[in-house]
Amino acid sequence: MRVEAPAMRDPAWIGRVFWGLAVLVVLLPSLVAVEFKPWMLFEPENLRVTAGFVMDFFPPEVNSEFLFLILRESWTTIAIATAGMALAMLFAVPFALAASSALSISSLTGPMNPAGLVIRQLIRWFLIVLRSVPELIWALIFVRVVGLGPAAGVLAIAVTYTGMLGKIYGEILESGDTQASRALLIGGGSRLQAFFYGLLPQNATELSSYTVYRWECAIRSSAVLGFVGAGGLGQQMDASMKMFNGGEVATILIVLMVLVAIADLMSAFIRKAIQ
Amino acid sequence: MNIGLKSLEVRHPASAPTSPSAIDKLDLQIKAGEHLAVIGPSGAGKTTLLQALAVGLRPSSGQISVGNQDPWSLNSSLLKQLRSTIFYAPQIPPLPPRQRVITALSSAKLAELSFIDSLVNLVLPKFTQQAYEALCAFDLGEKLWLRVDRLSGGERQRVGLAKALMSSARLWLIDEPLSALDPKRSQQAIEALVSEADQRGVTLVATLHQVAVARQMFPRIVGLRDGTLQFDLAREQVSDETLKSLYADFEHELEEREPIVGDQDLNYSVSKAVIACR
Repeated sequence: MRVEAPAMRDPAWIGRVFWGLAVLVVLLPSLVAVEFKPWMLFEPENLRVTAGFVMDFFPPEVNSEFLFLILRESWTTIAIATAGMALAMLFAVPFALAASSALSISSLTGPMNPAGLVIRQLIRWFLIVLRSVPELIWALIFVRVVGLGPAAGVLAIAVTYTGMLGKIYGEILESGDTQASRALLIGGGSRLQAFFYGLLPQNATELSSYTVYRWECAIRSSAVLGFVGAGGLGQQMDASMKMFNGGEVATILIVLMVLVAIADLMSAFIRKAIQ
Repeated sequence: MNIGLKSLEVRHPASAPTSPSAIDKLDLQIKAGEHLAVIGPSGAGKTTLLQALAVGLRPSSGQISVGNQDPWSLNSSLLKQLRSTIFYAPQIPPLPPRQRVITALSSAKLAELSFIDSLVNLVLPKFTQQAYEALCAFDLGEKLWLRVDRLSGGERQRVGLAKALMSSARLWLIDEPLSALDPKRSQQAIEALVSEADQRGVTLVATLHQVAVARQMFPRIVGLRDGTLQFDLAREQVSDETLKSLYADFEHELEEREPIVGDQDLNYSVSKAVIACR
């Protein structure tokens, strides 16, 4: 067979250099715009102020009454995060399945049909609306609707995380190997069958590790939501900060670290179980 | 299942408009129950032809009829129904690594199952006996409950072929069924496939790299090169000269060789499983 010899220089080279330079061109002005001057951290005056603030954190508050309070509030925080995640998954999974092009039957054999394209795009836009409003703002809205307390936090996390999970689930399904699900669709299977017999076993570890990571994020954000009255550790932290009680803040931060570490362990455990 | 192709032309969706069609002006008639091998050098369009027959690639021009109907004029539910009567096995079997063999095999049954039944089947497998027998035909009975990622490349390929036995399709399209198998396994696998197809009266179209196997096992042989039909002959009429011209400049593919990537488990003997289910 007569084939022209390929060029000896990597044809992707020019593109790579171009995009590398483009990143620099975008990055440098934005560093200037945000007055990024890390050396300011180490000026003696700033060091003194920082040290004073950090020293406030010592020693962490460990009296049993406060610890018991924190334990109860941690439980609220975890409950808000878990309930919010569960609700978010309930809504995100159908959205992801509907939005993901991995389950498009028309695009197996050519361009996706226009109706499918429009529906998928509409769902995508809807998910963007849900997640582009920060959960803090959703919480402020829901505090007005359902009153102060954990319910507002649960709803805020559910709404924002539906947006995030719906998008990422859909993209995980698209970026994994779609051979198996395509084969099932070509063989006359339905979309949901192709999901359960093709896409889900293919992407189970990615989906579960992303979900557990998001649960970890939800714990953090439910702590933050406490600041606007959604209960849990955040509310306690808000109170301690207003009283300049660094020791209490330190204890709460340590508890948060422990919670995140537990989430990390769980993620590892679940991944191993599926592996 | 009757198949008719009339000056069929198929292009790959991703190919440049200037590049030649993968299948060009192809005429082919296949009668229900016929067994046919498609041979030809790499890049001849063998896989593309199978994908077009599997209603997985839309022809850019020409006519195709599968089971006496034009698949591309059907509405989506009739098309789904037609597709469920066709079994297409790609060269690399599309088996999710974390799926169990039993589940992978019963996925060939999905078109016959309601959605609820197919969910139940994930937890309570209902095709255990049939799956075991399908595996036995390829000497894999003991792998029933294993996960796909525990299998060797050759074993996966044979599980992919066993899926054909699970499906109730009337047309089997098998792409390079022997590419990851050593000669002995190849012989066993192709015999199992052909005899099952024969018993069920299924139409069988297989692409093959092993010309000797094609001549031995298939009564009708189609030679494809650069997307065009070179010959369409009964096995007895395929001469060495015909093959030589089909593989001109590709002689190395015509030579019989040991597969480079093969089954590593060469110390097999006919397992107890085979004896048990025969």
